[in-house]
Amino acid sequence: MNSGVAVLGMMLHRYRRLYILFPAYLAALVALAQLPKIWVPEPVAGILCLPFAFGLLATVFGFVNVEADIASPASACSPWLLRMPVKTTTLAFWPIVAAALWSSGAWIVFATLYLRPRGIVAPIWWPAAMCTALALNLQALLWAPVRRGSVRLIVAITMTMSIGVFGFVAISSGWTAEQIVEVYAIVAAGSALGGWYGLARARTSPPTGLAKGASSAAIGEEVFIRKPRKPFRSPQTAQFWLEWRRQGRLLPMLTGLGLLAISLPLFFSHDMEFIGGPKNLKVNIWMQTAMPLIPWIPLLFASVIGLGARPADLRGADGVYHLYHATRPLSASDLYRSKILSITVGVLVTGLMTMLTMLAWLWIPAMTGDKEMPYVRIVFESFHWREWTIFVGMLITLTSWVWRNQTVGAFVDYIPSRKWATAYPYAVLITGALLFAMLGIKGQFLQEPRSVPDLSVALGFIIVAKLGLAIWFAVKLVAVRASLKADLIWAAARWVLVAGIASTTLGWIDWELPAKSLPVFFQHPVPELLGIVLVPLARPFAARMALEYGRHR
Amino acid sequence: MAENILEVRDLVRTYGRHRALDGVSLSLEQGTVLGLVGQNGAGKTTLIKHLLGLLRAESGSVRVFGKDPVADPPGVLSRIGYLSEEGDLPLWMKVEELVRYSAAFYPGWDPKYAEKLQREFGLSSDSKLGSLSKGQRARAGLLVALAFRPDLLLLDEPSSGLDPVVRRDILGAIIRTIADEGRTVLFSSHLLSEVEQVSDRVVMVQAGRVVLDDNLARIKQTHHRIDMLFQEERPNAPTLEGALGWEGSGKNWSALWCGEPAQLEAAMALIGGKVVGKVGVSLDDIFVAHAGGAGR
Repeated sequence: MNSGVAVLGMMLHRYRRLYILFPAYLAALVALAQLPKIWVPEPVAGILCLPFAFGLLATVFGFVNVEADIASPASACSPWLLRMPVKTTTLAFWPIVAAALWSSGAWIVFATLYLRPRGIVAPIWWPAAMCTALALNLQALLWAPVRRGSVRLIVAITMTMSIGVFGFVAISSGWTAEQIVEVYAIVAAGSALGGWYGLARARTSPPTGLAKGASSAAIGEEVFIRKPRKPFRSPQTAQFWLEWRRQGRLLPMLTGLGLLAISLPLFFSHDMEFIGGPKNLKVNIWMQTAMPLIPWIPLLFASVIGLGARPADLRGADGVYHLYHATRPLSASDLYRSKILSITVGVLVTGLMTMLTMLAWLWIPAMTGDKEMPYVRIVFESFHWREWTIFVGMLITLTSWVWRNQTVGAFVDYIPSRKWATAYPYAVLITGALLFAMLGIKGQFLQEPRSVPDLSVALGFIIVAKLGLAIWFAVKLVAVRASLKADLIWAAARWVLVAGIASTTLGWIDWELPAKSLPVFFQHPVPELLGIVLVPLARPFAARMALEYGRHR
Repeated sequence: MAENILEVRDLVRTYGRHRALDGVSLSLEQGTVLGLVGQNGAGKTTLIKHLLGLLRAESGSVRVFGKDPVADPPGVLSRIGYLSEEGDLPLWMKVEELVRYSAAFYPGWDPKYAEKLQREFGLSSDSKLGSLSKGQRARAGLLVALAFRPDLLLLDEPSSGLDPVVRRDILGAIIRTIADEGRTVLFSSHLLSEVEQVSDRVVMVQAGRVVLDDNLARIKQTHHRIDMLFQEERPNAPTLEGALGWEGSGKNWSALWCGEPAQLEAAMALIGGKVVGKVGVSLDDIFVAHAGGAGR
């Protein structure tokens, strides 16, 4: 048998359950599409589409054969595969071909045999080409060894989003399907070459990737020793430094990049548009369009982090935390406080950066009649104290929401069960996707915010599920460690207090502002907030206790 | 009488149905170098994790410096220098960051000694731990375990998979620690030649139980390979208290025997044989004999 086919067969065998499940799922969809429409209601048909994206992504990852940490500088391809006695061309060719055929084929089957019979006029060829480009790009990005793993992660996210968005933007900008396919074909071909080159580099580079080699000297040889920096004031300060480096600074860094990216067009776009009002006001078009998006940038990144994007479950098979961290001579409370403090500082720095950026934007000149003056002056002149209070309330709410997302994500490791911690990002993604799909299917998302309470059944289910899980974990903790009972009661009390304050604040905002000017989740806040925003906060509140449990199994 | 640095009493730990530690008792006097030996999965690392407070005793008790390591992690861990086989340092740190960070936790941190060790081990300040070789990483771990002159140095298979030069450094560190008056070392290892070189006392763990716990000199004194001649042919290995790992057939048998030399003749007479040869054995032979015996 051809050795390349053998390598491919090995990949398929390794993830055999996945390669059986996904086609079985597609086959079930195709069978369902043959049934009369009335038997499968629209919302159900819509929800059934959701596993497609996850399944496709998972099977494509199978063809990448990821084994290493994708945020490390080393190639993510299995090291033992790289050592197989086959040519690099053979090693790369079949997985590339398989990924291309699999990803495009999956879409073609899905669109022609499920979506179209259900009456949805889905395009076939350019999304198929997009899937191929995405799959091959992923292989190229993950196979190549790099100098800095974090750069790989950023490039991977950017490239994947760009490739995904391009098709939709192009089609809405009047490009033909053939033109889009051509662009994707070029991307796919480039990615295939990149994948091959990446594997070739991976086979000849050290296991640490292309990171700078160690400057380790032989024993006795003179080494570079820098004059020691000022020592940390206390163990707690040192631990804060560690948490800041590991977690806290991530949000300000990402937000800074986001703010920079959104601000760049201001240097090129000087056109103004009339926005009306009694002062006959004209403002910069980009400022007018993009300013409302700025406060959401930290929230977006915090949400990604909140999904457990940096899970790095620090537990071994016996459930004990990473030995170096677990053996720090600090109490669980100190370890917990350092983490919370680093997140809080990160969120506050992010909030400050965001506010300063918005303030800088407001210095851009605006026109009232023939007079030109900084927009900030007009805003300050026209704002009433009540608007300022609401503005401050919104600011506090958004900052708290960002903090909430950060902390919820930061403590994924502290979920008592490793399996649950691993499954967490998927559970959040699926729950979120389900929610948005239901809203989307109803065709009323944002057009009719009051439709949200219509989803009370789904929200009720989420609340019950989340609270149920929280209680289950709590019972489990107390069952194995009765001494944690008092901690648990305190954690629950603190959570109830925060939930109460948050609900009251949002209730007040809801009461103060006209309904249409608020995002959907800010209206009728109590059940939605409990379900989506507040219930997961139980985790950071219980984290000290979970840390205690995980550190001393 | 020297103070006991650690006291373990009837310690039990189970993972599912597997009994990783089965009633282990152990104590360690100040100033002792204890070699902890045993096969893979014998329970050495589990025992060490209990000493560090990372695992809680299911039954029995653990006291280090007279304290419960689970109840008072700072009180115990701030006096222990620990290096594990896994070399589980935070790989994103640079050497100088690791030194600065670690120094904050130990009141006894000696910056000059740390710098001396860094120079000896050839660790550049700006080297990232993730880009160091396994041996260099072990040296970095050793540096932070030694620089505060710990009261107890706990090494969990520190030489595993390392080259002879790094192993020499680790042994040197143990010797250096012993030279500091009153310091205590507990290290687990597969490399019995190393254990023989530096240990005062050896504890052998097998299937979660302590099967041997004695002074090294005494272990050597009480373990011998003996050749025996019997008056009659024996189809099966004879039964002799203290004998491990029988070999032979007919009238000629040999075994590794563990017991007081003075009692051997009398024990042999009871089973109708006599000793025709007796030689000393290495720790390796003793280990294999105990491991094999327990395995059967």
